[in-house]
Amino acid sequence: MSFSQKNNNEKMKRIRNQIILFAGIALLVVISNLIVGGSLLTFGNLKTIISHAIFPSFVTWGMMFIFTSGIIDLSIGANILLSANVGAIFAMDLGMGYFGLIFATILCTVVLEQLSVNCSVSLKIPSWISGLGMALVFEAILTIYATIRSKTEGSSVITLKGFRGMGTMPLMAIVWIVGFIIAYLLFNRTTLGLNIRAIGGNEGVADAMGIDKKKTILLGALVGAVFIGLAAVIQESYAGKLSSQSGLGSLSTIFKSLATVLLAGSFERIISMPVGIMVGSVFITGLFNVLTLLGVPSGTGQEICLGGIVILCGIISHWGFKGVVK
Amino acid sequence: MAEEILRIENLSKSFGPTLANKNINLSLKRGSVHGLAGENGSGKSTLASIVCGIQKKDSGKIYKDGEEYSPANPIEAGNRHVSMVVQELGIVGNLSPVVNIFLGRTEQFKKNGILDFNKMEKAAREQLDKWELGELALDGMTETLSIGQRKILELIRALSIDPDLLILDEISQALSQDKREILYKFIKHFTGEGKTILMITHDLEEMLEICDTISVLRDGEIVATKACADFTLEELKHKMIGREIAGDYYRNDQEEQYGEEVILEVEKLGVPGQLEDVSFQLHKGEVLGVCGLSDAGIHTLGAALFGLLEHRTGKVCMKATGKLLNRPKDVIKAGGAYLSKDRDADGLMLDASIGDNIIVPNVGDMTGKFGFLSPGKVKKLAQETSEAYAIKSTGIDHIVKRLSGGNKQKVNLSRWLIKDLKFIILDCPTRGVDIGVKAYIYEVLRKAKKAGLGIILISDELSEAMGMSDRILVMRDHKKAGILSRTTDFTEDKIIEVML
Repeated sequence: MSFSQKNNNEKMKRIRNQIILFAGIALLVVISNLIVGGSLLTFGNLKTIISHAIFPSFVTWGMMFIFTSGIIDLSIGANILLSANVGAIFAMDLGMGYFGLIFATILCTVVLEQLSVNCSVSLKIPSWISGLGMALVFEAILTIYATIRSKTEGSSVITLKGFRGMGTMPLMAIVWIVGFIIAYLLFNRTTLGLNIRAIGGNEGVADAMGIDKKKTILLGALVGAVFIGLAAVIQESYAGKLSSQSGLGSLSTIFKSLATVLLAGSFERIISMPVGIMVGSVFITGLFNVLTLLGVPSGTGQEICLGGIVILCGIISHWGFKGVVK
Repeated sequence: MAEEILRIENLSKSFGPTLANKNINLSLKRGSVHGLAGENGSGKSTLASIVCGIQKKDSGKIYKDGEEYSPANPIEAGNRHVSMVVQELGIVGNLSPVVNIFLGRTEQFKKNGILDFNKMEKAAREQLDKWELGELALDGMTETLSIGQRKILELIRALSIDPDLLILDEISQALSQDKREILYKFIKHFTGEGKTILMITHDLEEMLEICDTISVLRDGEIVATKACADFTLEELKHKMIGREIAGDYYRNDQEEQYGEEVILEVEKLGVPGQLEDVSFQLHKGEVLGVCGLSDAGIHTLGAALFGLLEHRTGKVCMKATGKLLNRPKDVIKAGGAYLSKDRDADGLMLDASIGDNIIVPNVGDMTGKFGFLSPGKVKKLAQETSEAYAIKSTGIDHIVKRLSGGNKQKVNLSRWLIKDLKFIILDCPTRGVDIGVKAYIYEVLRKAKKAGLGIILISDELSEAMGMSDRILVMRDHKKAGILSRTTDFTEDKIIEVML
C-alpha cells in the first residue's frame, strides 16, 4: 500500500467514524422519540433541551481550557455559585444592571479561577487537591454571606429581578453559537490552544520547545474562566437565583459538565473537543429529558443511565485503538 | 583550513556530586560531521544539551561564529541557528505531526490571531522535499506514527529553524536500514551546504563511516580528538571504555547451532493491515533474527507474538504442550517474555525504583505464607539481580529514569532473564546503549542461548542480526519473505536482496 493510499485511508476512516457517530445519535433520537410517543421532537421540548444544554456547554468549554493542560480543578462549581451571586449583587443591590451582572460575574470567576489554579501551579500541589480545598473555601464564603443575608434581608440568596435576558431564548442560543465558534477557534486554531494541548500531552517536550508552562496554564485558566463566568451569568439569568452549597455540594452544579468532558474526550479521535462538547451537552441533556419523559427517577435511575452511556461511548470511540482509554 | 563554527572552552557541568562534563575543549569546523563517542553516562548527551540550550553550563565558554554563545533555552539556541534531535523520543502524541514540527514557534503562521494550518503544512513539506527525507503523514495524531517516523519528524522539526549546526543524538538507532540510508544521504546534503553536524552514535562503524572528526568522552572528559581516518575501530573502542573489550563482540562460528526440540510454533500469524500469514518455529537454544525494511512489520511481529495486538489471527503455541498463547498472560505463564523497542514507553516504570521494576514480573514468587509480599524476598531478589547484571546505580532504590540508557536496558532485560524462561522476544535490545553494555548484552544472550533459551531477536541493525542469529527471518511488506540460514546464507547482499 502506497503512502498516499495509507494517508487517504486514515482520513476516510475518520470521516466514516464521524458519519457513524452522527447517524448513531440520529437513530437514537428517532427511537427515543418513538418510545416517548413523539414528545421528544416537538419544538417546545427541543427548545427546552437546548436551553438546558447551554449552561453545561459553556462550563465544559471552560473546563477544556483548564483540564487539557492537566489541571483538574474541582472548584469550578463553587466558583460559579459564588460568582453568580456576586454578579447579582452588582446588578441588583448596587444598581449596575446588566453591566454589573455580566462584568462582575466574569471578573469574579476569573479572579477565583486564577486563585485556584495558582494555588496548584505555584505551590506545586496536585490540582485536584487544591481545587477541592478552594471549593470548600468558596462554598464557605457564600454560606457566610447567605447566613448574614437571611438575617438582614429575610432571604438567604439574592434573586435576580429583571436583567434576565441572557437566560431567555433566542439570545441564549445566539450566545451559545458565538461561544462555540470562539471556543473552537481558540482551542484548535491559536497558539494558546496548541500550547495547552502540548503541555497536557507531553510536559517535557513542551518545556524543551520553549513553551512557558506556567504562563500558558494561567492564560488557559483565564480563557476558561471567561467561559465559566458566562455560564454563571446564563444560569443566574435563567434560574433567577443560585443557592449556596456546603460540604462540596457545589460539585453537583458541574456534574453534567464533567460527564460532557468524559463524553467529548471519548470521541476526541473522531470529532474535535469543542464540537464534542456541544454535541455531548445536548446529548446528555436530551438523555435526561427522555428519561424524565419515561418517568425514570432523577438522582438515581437517570444517573445510572448516564454513567452507562458514558462508559459505552468510551468503548465505542476507542474500538480497535491500541492503547489505553484516557 | 575550514572555518570554525563552534568553540567550547573549559566547559564544566555537574549534577550534584556527579561531574558530567569536565573542562571540555572542543572545536567544530563548518561543513563537517563531528562525532562524539563515549559510553553511556560519559557526558555526551549533557554536552550536546548544553550546546542546544536544554541544560545550562556551570562554567566555561562557548563561541558560535566567533561570538560568545550561552543559550538559556532551545528557542535562544534556535535563534543562533543551533538545533538538536534528542536521544529519547520528544513528541507530543495528541497533536498532529505538523504542529509538533512548529511547536513553540507557531506564531509565524498566525493571521488575525488564527493559525493557518495550510501554511504550516506547506512549510513542513518544503523541509521534507528540500532534504529528501521521504514521505510522512503530517495530519492525524502523532502517536500513530512508528518510532522511525517519529525520529524523522523530530529531524524535520530541528531543520525547520534553518540550523547551521545540527546535533543528532542517537538518531540512527531508531531507524530501519532504508531510513538510515535516507539519513546518510541527508547528512551529505546538509554538510555539503557548509553546515555542521555534531553526531552522537553508539554505532562505531557508522561513526567511522560518516564523521570527519571524532572526539571521545570518558567520565565527562575528552580523552581524544582526531580525524576519523586516524582512528581504527579497536582504538576507538579502547579510548571509550579505557580497556580492551574481552572476547568477541559477535559470534564467530559460521553454523546454525541449536537443539532439535521446537519450543514455539507460529502458524499464519496475522494482524489486519499490519501482518500477514507469518509462520515459523523457534528451537531450543536458537537465536532467530528478524529483519526487514521500515514498515515491513518486524516490530509488529514482536508485539503480535506476545499477544499485545487486537484482532490477531493465526496461531502461536508451545510445541510441547500445544498450549495456545493468545495474551501476554499466556506467554508469561508458558515461560515467555517480551522486550519492546521503546523501553521507556512500553517497558519500564520510569518513576519507580530499580527494585520495583525488577520485582514486577517476578511478584508471584515473592509472596510469603499468607500471600502477602515478603519484603525480605523482594529486597534480596532486587539486590542480587542488580549486582549480577552490574547495574550502575546508588542502590535498588535508585529511580529508573535517572539511569543511563544502557543501565535502563540492563534492568529491563535482567528482570526477565532471572526467571526460568523458555523463550524471549527481544525488539532492538541494544537500541541506545553503548558499546560496553552492548557487548555485555550479547554475552548475556550467548550464555542464555547455551542454557537452552530460545531467542527471537528483532533488529534494525543487519550486523547485529547476522552477528548473533542462527537463522534470520526476513520480512517484506508485512509478510515473511524468507528464512535464511547462518550456515549457507549469511551475507549482507543476500539478506538485502530478500528484504527488497
